[in-house]
Amino acid sequence: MKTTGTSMLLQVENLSKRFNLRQGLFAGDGPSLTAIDQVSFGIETSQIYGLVGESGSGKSTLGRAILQLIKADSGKVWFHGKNLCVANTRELNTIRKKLQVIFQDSSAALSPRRTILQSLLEPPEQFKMGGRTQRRQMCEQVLETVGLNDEVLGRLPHQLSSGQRQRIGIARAVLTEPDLIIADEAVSALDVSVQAQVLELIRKLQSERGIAFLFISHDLAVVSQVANVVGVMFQGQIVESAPVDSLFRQPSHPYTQELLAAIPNPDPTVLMSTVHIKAGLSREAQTRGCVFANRCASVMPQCHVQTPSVHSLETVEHHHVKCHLYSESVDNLSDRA
Amino acid sequence: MTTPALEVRNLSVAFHGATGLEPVVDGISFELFAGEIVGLVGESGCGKSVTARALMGLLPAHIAETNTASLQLAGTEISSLNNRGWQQLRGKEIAMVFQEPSTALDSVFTIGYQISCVLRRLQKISRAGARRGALSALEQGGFTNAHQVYGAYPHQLSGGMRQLAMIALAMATRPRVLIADEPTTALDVTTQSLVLERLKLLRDKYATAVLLVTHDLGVVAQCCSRVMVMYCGRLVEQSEYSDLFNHAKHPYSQGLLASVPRIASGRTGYAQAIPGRVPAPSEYPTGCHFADRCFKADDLCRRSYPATQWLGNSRVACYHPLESG
Repeated sequence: MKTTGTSMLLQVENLSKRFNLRQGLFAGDGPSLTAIDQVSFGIETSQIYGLVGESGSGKSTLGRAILQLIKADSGKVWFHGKNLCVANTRELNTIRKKLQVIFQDSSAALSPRRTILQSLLEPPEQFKMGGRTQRRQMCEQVLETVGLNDEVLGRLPHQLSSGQRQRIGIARAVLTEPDLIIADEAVSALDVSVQAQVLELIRKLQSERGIAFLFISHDLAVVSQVANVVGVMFQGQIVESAPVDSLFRQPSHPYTQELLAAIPNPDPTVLMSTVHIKAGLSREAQTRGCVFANRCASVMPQCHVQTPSVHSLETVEHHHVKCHLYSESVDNLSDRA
Repeated sequence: MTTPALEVRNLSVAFHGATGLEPVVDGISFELFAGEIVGLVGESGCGKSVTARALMGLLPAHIAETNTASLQLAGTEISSLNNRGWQQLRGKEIAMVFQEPSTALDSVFTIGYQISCVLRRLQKISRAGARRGALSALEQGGFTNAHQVYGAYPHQLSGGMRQLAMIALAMATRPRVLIADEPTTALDVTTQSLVLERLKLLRDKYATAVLLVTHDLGVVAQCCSRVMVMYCGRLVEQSEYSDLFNHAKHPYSQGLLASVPRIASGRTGYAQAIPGRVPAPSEYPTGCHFADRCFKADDLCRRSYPATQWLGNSRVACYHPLESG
């Protein structure tokens, strides 16, 4: 997943984060969980990068590590020519104007005791944008952009529907005219009908304002509705990444195939395939070999021993798979064909 | 025709609100037959979960007023049962799986203890017998390591495993009717398919009638033979799922189907949103509740609520049902 750093808006290089599972004085020797493991990827200007994976795969940790809400153990995050991992608080505060976030739970993200207007005014005040009347105008304009009426300004978060609240969350992120928004499960808590509205809004923000998104979701179908490029994450690693059409036309990693097969299709003639997951009590850390080896349907002996490297599919540009099935030895490939 | 496992006639639930009684569920009628999974779908705030709770007798009288013309469990009238009567029934004849297994299970007791407690209360068996029963329920529930899960606390299981344990608990007494309220909504697609598969397996084994409350029509397609579409406390369409998918008759059903995100290839096939939102119970309009969001609505729709009529094999409440094709 190597890319040239110049054309990229955001470039993540070998980012890693480990959490100690035991706390206290001797935590250092205790068991730990690698939430993100040497992750590298890039997002171009006004591109929507969809990041999918099941819960616990490290998607949200990756989003938070990019935002510097948690400090990564190693690796670099390049944004506007700065490595955010070593930036100081003051530098980060300026950068955050251009790097915004939308959270999953809009009711937790908004203060329950502040009116919508008070919440919306916060970002422009923080970044000292314009005077008082101008700020108020900005709020009204942004509401129009996200498809809400002025009358919500005086309300409190609980007086809005969940869809409206999520629009406020988006409005707040858009207010500072960011270049990149990290949307962490931004539509997961919404009804399908409202979800479709919010997805449309995200597509609109991309095409009209040129905002790039890191769109984190566990739902491949939702991601396919907005993303230009999709990365599939499993246990802290991006195991496959490709342009959206290529990924769904030619899902290559066994995990991606499993995810796709598990999406319940509303067409009753298309049956969902049964997934065979080993029902275990704990997530045992995979120390050697491929992270997916224990669940993989096409597992080979070397998968348990050797960590697979990233292979590019020859047929499609920018389609990368981290899997032994696509290594140079042709006999494996012919097996699958 | 066989007696339905559960027959509901004119079920209404009204909540005591600020402005008096607010109808949340308004005169719905349906039946569940043994061995079938029926989907109950609709947006949030449509009354799906309230219906589920009302069927379990779980709505306290000081919060909600529940009225029903008739509620029959395998031919026996249960609508007039008192609390004690319900306690004999709940968990034994009619059981429930909740959306959030982490709150439905007690975090300070082991999974095994919670299942055997239920068994001991309902079946009057010995401690050892209950233990055996709980272990076999866990095995039926799809756990290969039943002994390990028996001794585990809820927080030691992943979300999917917790939900499987919840289903094992609900099915331990082999109830006639299982009400599953959004059982897979909080789960990943991969675990979701696992849970749904298990639900179907248990249904086949014990011929349970399952009411599956969900907002995901994809889930309905994979599990349910029939589907009931709910909007603002009323059933607007009841039909075979394949009929609904191929030819939805109520505009709301069609809107729901169009809003399901599918894998969009070549920038086509974006999900289409239904305009507007679900009104609060106090704001329900006088006519058809869907009229304000409907593209076919006219004066008639705004004046009075359409009666439910049979169209082919479907029951539809709409003045202007959609033509086929």
